[in-house]
Amino acid sequence: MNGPRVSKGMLALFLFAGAVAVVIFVQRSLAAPDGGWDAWMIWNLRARWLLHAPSFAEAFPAALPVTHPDYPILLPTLVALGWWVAGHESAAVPVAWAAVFALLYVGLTVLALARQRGWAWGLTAGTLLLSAPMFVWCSADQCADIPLGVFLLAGAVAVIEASGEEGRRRAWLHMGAGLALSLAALTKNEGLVYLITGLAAVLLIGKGQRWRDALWLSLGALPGLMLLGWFKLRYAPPGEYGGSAALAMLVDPARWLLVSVHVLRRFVYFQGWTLLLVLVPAGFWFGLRNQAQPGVRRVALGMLGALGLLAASYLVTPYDAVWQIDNSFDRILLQCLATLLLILFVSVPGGARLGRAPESVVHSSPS
Amino acid sequence: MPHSPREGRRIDARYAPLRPLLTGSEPVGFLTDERFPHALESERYTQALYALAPRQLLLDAPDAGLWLADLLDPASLPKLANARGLEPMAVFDDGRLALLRRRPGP
Repeated sequence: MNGPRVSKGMLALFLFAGAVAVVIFVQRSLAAPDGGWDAWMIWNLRARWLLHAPSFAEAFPAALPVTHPDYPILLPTLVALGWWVAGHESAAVPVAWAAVFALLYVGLTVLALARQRGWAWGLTAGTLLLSAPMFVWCSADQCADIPLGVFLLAGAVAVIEASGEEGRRRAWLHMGAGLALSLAALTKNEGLVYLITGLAAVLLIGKGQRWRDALWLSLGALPGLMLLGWFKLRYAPPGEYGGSAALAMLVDPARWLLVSVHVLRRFVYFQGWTLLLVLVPAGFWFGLRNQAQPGVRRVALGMLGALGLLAASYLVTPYDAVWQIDNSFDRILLQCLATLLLILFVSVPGGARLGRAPESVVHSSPS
Repeated sequence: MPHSPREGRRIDARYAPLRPLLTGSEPVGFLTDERFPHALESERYTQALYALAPRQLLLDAPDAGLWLADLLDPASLPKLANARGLEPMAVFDDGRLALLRRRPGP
């Protein structure tokens, strides 16, 4: 792989950040084996219903909208499957899934960047992710936002890789992106937003092959979307969004002000993110200007559209908007963070300055 | 919170004595003295839902024959029970958890 070489200090920093993250993950998992609020209230609760309800249809009781019976069920299914295999409801099962997805979140980021720009960039991104308190906390809390982030990242990697390919390989990569994004839609409702805006971005950016790329992406997403449609139309009770009240909230200037202020407030949530959130606007800035890789521009535009729509959903939330922003916006950013780091680091100029001199320079030096 | 998940034990442990008493499938009413603007924000309600799944616990269940009370203050039980014509069947966790049934009519 090309790119700057990895210094010992860089590798040591990555390993140190990884070791600290593992210690915190284990400590929090031992302290709270059932995970955080979302884990017991939504995902593991649904896993129990899937395992014990008299019938599949009864695992989604409309009488309990507080449990979000309309939410997609990929993660609860994985947990229920683990419990079924284990023979009992071991706390280790959801903890293990959380660990697997956390590893994938960091590992896929490192590998994708290593392939695009070399190991130094990959390890730098990995170190940044591992040192984000929000990432480590949410991993141990068994948040579904990490698995969603993994599928989103996988879709983004496939779209970026595809933009440098032609023919059958390009088609397969777009199908892979569609599959990954459909898995995101099967994980959380936000996943469907990423899929739709991603598809729109593919149609808007690029020359010549836009419709063909979009077709392959749609075909890749089709099986997952059919599964999601089957669940939503047949079993899931109606969601809590919508109705005439939502329309009134959408045109209320005071609500726009309230939501805007509180969304922006999350960008200075230093204790959860340190300085990492600076990378969010930077990722969009460099990603959207990346003329060499249309795939990166597609991902950046798709992400920007999705974030805009998700932020706008606070305008029509049936809950207290401030409470919901405070409890969910950081997790939405976490879904995107690895992908934003990817598009930032593949787009930012001056790669040779990171780490040691590029290998080609080192190799040409007299030894 | 006396049953906060940060204690290092599973949420189920606190509700385990109730499980053998909740053998049917009909919805159970839920009572608490915890104040919350939305049911999502009630740690007691959400943890009871999780621990007793797939039993349905309903905050608004005027017809329920069986009720679960999960309380911050055990002293609030008589007032909450009397207001709904309920009487305790079994009490756990120093009076913070109670299973109630409808008081027989005159």
